[in-house]
Amino acid sequence: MELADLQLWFGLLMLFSGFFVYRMGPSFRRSIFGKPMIVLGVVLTLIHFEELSTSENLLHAEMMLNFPWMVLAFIGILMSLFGAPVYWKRNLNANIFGLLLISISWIIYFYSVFSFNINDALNSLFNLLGMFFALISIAYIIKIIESKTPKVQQSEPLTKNEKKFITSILKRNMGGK
Amino acid sequence: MENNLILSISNISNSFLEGLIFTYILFIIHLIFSYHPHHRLIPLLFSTLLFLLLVITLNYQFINSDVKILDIILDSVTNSLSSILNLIPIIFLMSTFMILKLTFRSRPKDPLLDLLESNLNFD
Repeated sequence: MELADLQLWFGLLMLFSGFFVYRMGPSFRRSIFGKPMIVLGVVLTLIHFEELSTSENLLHAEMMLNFPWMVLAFIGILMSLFGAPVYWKRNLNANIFGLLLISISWIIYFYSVFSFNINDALNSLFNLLGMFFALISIAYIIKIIESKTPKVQQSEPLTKNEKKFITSILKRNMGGK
Repeated sequence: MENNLILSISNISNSFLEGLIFTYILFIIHLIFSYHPHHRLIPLLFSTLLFLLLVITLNYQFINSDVKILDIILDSVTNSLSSILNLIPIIFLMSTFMILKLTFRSRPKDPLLDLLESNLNFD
């Protein structure tokens, strides 16, 4: 494996791990690293100064081919959502600009990317089916592991002193007799 | 001849197993990078690793016996990412329809939203 291949794989690892770090709720402290990791991942994946090996080169070429229209489409969708009357009042300029970007990305896709090959389509279909089955199996694994988690014991009722303490707090804050 | 259907059972099962391998690898990365002390990480990680090893063994034994295991893993990621890239236009098509639907609809009358806008100047 060449250095350029390693760079591509490391970039992809950074991209995915950045997304997982950024997305996860409980890891607030780690989430600040998410965006820089995603950007670094994209840069390492897409920009190379040396020749890649065959399969890595195919993946890289496909990503580079799809990158422009996907970026335009993403910005277009965000702009349209911002302009559409969902939560805010309609912002016609943003809406029209977003729709324009979406149209341009469709044009780029059909002129430079779109091609249909039945073998590729079937390969992708079975590949996605595999991913779907993997997700189902992961859900079952989680269900089994969660069901084996020992239940937390029911807490004891409040003692007389605790009841007195809570009542005094409530009286102080809410009034009443 | 490029569009002729020349997929064999071996190709189909290879694609299927590659999808499984990719998702298990992605889930393992997810488990490691979203670590939280209250997660039950170890049993989940080991069972996913077990499934991953099982699928790689199946692929190696029955389909790609002349290929290195590292190459099986890397090819799985490559082909699965290509499949996802092939799927994205379909998702984009659905998103475009949803955006068009949102663009041409009028916002439903909601007294609470009106109140917010009139009192707090919320745009």
